[in-house]
Amino acid sequence: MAKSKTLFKVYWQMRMNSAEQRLAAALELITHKPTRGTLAEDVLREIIDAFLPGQWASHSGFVVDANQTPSDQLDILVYDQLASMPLYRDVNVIVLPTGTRPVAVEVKSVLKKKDLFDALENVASVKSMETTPQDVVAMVYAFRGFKKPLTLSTHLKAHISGLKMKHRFDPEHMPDMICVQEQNMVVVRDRTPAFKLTAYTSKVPVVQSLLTQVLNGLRVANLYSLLPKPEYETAALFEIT
Amino acid sequence: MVIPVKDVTLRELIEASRSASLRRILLTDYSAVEPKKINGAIVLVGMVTVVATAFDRKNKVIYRWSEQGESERMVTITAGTGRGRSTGGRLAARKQEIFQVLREEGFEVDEGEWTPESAAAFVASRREIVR
Repeated sequence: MAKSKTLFKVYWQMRMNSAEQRLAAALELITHKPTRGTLAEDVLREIIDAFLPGQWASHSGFVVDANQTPSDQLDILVYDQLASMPLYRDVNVIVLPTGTRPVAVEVKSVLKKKDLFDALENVASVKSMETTPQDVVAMVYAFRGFKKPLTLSTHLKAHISGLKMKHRFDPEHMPDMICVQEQNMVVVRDRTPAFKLTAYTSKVPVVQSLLTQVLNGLRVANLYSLLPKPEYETAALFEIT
Repeated sequence: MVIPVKDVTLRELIEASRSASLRRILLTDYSAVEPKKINGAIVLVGMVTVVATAFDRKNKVIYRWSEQGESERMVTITAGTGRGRSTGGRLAARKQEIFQVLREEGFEVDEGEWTPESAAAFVASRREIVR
């Protein structure tokens, strides 16, 4: 029994490795500006899809509340297609009602200040529609950007203080995770005991952190033991409280 | 008026619900990841929080029980309930186990969580419907 468990873990790890190689290859191609946004989204969606049990589906799309107010468009929305009925679905776009507990990912080929702010707004717009914002697990995944961690820290602080000045800051509306692939940087949000964003350098490719977050976010008990446990450098790159 | 939330144990939730003649309990689970220090290394661990709440409309209080743990540990291998012997079993998430316990205790269990906001909204809409 123990042997078969180990065997499956090896298989799972090999699938993780192939996802990393796929993303590394995409990173090489992604310098071509006009197509890189779409390519980044497609590649990441395919990688997430490959790990999803058939119950779940992913599309780009919106969440709409009871007043028919739509959220901003999210690059990837993963939802339970057996339990939730989309209000609209075509090849490119899906519209989900609130309460479907999706996992959302904003994808950026290159993360700059404006892209970061846009992504943070999009995440906040979908989280703010739910009665309990934890119902939506939301992440930002960037292929490139912010060579210096301090730059990301400065922009995050600027965004937060801007929201605080407008009395619009709600820590529950911040992304659960921000990944920057090229820098191997992962920013994780702590909810308890108090709001905190902590940035780490990942010792393994950051897509493992993303997949851990997505698969854990879907709450599939059978997958729990297979989730990778990405390791980070012990010294945090920065903290924002 | 803000409806207070009282944190209780699962036993207290069952007893408080029973003594207030509450029949319905809302049950949900939330997921998160947390960097944890394990053997001197920082490791990203999947976590699950299971929450059960009951709203006592008469006394205007929400009873809330929650349990948080590593996802990997929040599952149990349960024996089948069908006839005959089985050497196997299936993985049951902690939420499913709590669901079974509450149902066995005679409660109706629905997906969700009572919060001060949702309870207040429910009281207001009920007032409109049941005059």
